[in-house]
Amino acid sequence: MSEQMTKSWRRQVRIGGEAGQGVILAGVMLAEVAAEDGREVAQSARYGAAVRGGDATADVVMADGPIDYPHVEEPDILITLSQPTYDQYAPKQKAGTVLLYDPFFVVPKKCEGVRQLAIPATDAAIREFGKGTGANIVILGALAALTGVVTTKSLQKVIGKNPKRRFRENNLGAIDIGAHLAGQAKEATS
Amino acid sequence: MPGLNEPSSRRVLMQGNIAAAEGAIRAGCRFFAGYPITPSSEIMVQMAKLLGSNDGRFIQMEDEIASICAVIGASGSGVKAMTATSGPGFSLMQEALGYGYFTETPMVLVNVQRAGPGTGQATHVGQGDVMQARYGTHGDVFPIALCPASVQEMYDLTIRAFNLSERFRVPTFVMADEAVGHLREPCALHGGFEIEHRNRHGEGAPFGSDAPDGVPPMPAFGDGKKLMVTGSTHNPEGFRKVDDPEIHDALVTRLMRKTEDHRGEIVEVEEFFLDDAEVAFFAYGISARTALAAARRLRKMGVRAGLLRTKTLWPFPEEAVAQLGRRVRAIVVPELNKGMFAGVCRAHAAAEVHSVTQTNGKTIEPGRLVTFVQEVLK
Repeated sequence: MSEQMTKSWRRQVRIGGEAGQGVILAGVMLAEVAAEDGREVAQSARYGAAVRGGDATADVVMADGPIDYPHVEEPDILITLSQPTYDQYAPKQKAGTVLLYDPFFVVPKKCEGVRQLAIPATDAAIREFGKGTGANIVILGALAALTGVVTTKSLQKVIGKNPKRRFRENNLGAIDIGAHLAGQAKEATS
Repeated sequence: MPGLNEPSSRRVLMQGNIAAAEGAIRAGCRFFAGYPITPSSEIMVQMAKLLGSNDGRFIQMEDEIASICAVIGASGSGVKAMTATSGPGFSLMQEALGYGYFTETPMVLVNVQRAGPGTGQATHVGQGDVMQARYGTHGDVFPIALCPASVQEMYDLTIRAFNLSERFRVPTFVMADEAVGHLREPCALHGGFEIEHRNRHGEGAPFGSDAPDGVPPMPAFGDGKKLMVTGSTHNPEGFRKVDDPEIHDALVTRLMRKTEDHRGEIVEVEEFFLDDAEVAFFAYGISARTALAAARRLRKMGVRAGLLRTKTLWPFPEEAVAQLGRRVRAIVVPELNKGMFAGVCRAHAAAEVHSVTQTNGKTIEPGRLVTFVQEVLK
């Protein structure tokens, strides 16, 4: 903890979904990517005591100086992979923020002033890998391409550290898919 | 990640619980007995990995009572030993902790606090065990309790806990909380520490000391000295003396003095923006990070707010809090319980003390403290 008083770059990212979708892992990886980019970073999670199922939320705060309070207060970017976490967090999003959702699980509602973008990550993961796991990495790829809070280069570097070749290759592919989906993303009109 | 023999100043993204385990190994811990409990279990898992590759011993016991007793036994054999738990396990360990205190057994316990009482909310944060750390076991006890507020401090203060425990022969607690234990932040597994070892081969009786610090030497089982260890009142040689009033009083008093007379060596506080402050937070653990963020925001709004952050819960930083009470108009104590330390603060500070409590399993957001201080100053 330091007394330094500089106001500087700081972003708060929240990822919500159902336990088992890999949202906590996505949060941990996002934090590693931000650290790779040279940012200060604090990552935390909120989940229930059940072995499986239930809501899971991962928070990442990144900044270019010390982080006092390490939890997300008002997300600059919200990612939701489930309807319950969308319903819980989307109405609280402040105007001017970004919301990425997976239309496989989420039907969006009106969110005044929030830029809501559909990223069909689960559809793409099923098409590419035969199952929905991997959607978490697809959406990280989309996040990097769309918002620039982390660089795609660092994301690839962190993914590339996985010692298992199949995971490494699939996940590097998932980043590209995410970047591609980001280019086609349409803003929710409802 | 750097291994044991290569301390590194390079900061690596790491979970708080993992950092505590790394600190324990760095401090020389070579025995861990425990029973898994959320939100502390990662410490146990990491210790199982690290002790296996560092010539240590790890054992998962049948419950927390057995765990703490195994730790006491290991320490008696001359090994630095620890366990980790959360509130419900801490409760189960209280009787043996009293035994450990009265037999002057060095050991470290990391309590990653969750929302209690009872089994409460296993995965959510609380700071409700801070008084239990001081008064949890029966009789007059004066243990040491430290309180980390970051992943780096999970590492640093676990090492410090071992050092203090070895130095004073007293059970020492690292009173972490779920928010800090599960937080991931950059942490340097640096080697910039003097490592303390108990005085194992010194002259003198093992349970009595004329030395000014009151800390006797502690031979291990098998060191060749006649060694008797009992949780009943004992004379300096370790013989049970359960009818002698002078011996009981002298023993209880010496044990108290080991920690109370060394506050200067034990207590660590940190000050932020206090030079001209009219209102100050007094905080510990994760709530201190809320308070620092709030103090910074208040400063930007022109409010002269500051923070006294303590890294030591027990012995309580009486001097620092008394001095703070003379410097500011009001002290605000944010904590994740119903005002435990606000009460202690009131006993030592002349200023008005306000308690901000939150017991919903979430950390206090800085905005709540900013609003609270604005109301106080109206």
